[in-house]
Amino acid sequence: MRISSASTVSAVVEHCLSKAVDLALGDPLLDTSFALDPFERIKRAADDGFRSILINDHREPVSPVAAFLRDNEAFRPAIDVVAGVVLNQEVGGLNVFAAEHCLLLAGRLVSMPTVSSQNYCRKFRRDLARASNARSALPGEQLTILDDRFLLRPDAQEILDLIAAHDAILDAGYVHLSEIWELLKEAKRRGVGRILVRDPDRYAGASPDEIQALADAGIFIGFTISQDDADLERFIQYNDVPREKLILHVMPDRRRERILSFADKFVSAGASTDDLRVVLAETGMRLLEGKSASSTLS
Amino acid sequence: MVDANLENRVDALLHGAIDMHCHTGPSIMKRKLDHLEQIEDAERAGLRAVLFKDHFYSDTGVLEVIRKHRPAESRLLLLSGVPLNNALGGFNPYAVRHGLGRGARLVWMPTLCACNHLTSAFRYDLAGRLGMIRPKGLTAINARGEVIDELKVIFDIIAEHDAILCGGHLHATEMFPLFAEAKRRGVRRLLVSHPTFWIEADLQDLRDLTSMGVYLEHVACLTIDCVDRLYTADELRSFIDTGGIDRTILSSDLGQPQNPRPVEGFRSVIKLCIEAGYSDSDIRKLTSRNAATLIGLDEAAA
Repeated sequence: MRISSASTVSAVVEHCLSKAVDLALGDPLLDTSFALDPFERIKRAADDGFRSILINDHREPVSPVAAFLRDNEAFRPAIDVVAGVVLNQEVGGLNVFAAEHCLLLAGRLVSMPTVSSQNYCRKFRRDLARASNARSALPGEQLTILDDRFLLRPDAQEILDLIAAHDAILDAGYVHLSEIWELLKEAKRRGVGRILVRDPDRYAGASPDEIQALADAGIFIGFTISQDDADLERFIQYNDVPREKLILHVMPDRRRERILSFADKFVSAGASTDDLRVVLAETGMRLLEGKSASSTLS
Repeated sequence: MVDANLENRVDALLHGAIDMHCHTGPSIMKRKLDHLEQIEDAERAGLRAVLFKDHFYSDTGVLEVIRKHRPAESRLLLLSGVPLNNALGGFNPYAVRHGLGRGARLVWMPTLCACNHLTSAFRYDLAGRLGMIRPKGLTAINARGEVIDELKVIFDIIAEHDAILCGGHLHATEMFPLFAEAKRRGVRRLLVSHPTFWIEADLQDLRDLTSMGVYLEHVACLTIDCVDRLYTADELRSFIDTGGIDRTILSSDLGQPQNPRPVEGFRSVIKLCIEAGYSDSDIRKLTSRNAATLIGLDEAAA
């Protein structure tokens, strides 16, 4: 169904958010909302109308915070909270024990390295050198998930087995496309059911065809609406991704405004109510809950 | 029958006390209470500070949320550390740099993942009980008895932050080279927790450690009347007298479901000290002043 007016778009967005999960992670180089602590991020998501949130942090495990908030009435958020862990240097890199601790304590997602990845540190080396709030990994200690024969490292394989055993979500982090394909191959072989790749154009260096190929391989594709209108131009690369594989992430800063602006343009470009509903809410919920969420969105 | 004078004396001594070893939830290990409940207990008793310890993560993030968003005003200092067990990557300088940069005041050497712990506590088998991956044992020294290189970087970071280095559950024989190297690199706040338990330090070790400037922490968990008690009042007295009043710290090490709550345990260990004949001045050293000096609380205030 085509949407005819801005007010209809707004109503659809409102309805979708009440069924949606906030999966935004954010990049320290791009997002100003990093000053928010997990409690503030959760509160912001609740204020923005989300149904649930998956909190995560590039530098430290946040599953203890999620567990604390969940278990304390005085702090208990109005929305469901689960946590993830990012396997950057601060938790020992590709460390199965860090992943295990997260999954045993309110965690449901394990991310491969993001800001510690070799790919990220190389790609954004000049931005990192300028950014005082985004420390890079120390030279020579950036992380790659492949060994010197370009196969998935044994420690990464062990992590995949753990994720599969917990039926958790694998997030590919900010590794290179060449690493992602090895990761996906091994993840599927080891029984990991849900895999997320965030902004593959920006981090993995994927072309539109390659993004499409990832989606065709069953991967959930995250697209982050960040802080400027260039996002819509970027989104053209994602236009052919099946909606049931596409998830919109939006950073907390001016989020409703940005979602509405994006939704307007998305619709103007020919998308339908159903498209909007799926990318804003349904796909994210399916990723989080591991089942079809369509019944809750009707 | 309750001795009102004794209770009043304990209350007064508890006021301003510092518990440097408190195990509360959230945790993947079973806990009797969580951080917030412990904070409320400690505030009611008038404690000055509590250092929260989980073996698997640094409490800094949770405490920051509590500090910023708890409606009640509090003068209680909430302290945290960085435990160098497997979940944080073992001897991981990035974890140390991040944790101390976020406000943690102490770095624990491996506890449950120390090779020494996995050897001396092999029957405890926490990983097996919790259905976890078998831990990777960590040791501070190489086959030649020298401190491993990874630790030297960590000591430099600790020295830069003027934080506390705690020996965790390393063996007594690892503690000596550990602290010697740490001191060479400028670390000046040194601690051994329950040196006679898991660590296998004997009385001569206690003397030798204090002569290096190390504080020795004995804990209520092992000395008061509770399920985990291991030592008699006489043994506690012997540990304190050997290490010396000026180098000994009493903490709770409580939070296990089978034992009393930490503040209650702290009361009991103060009573033990009173019954052993220590003066109030000495008990204050044991339960607050030495810990404050080790942490540097009064230096910061000055």
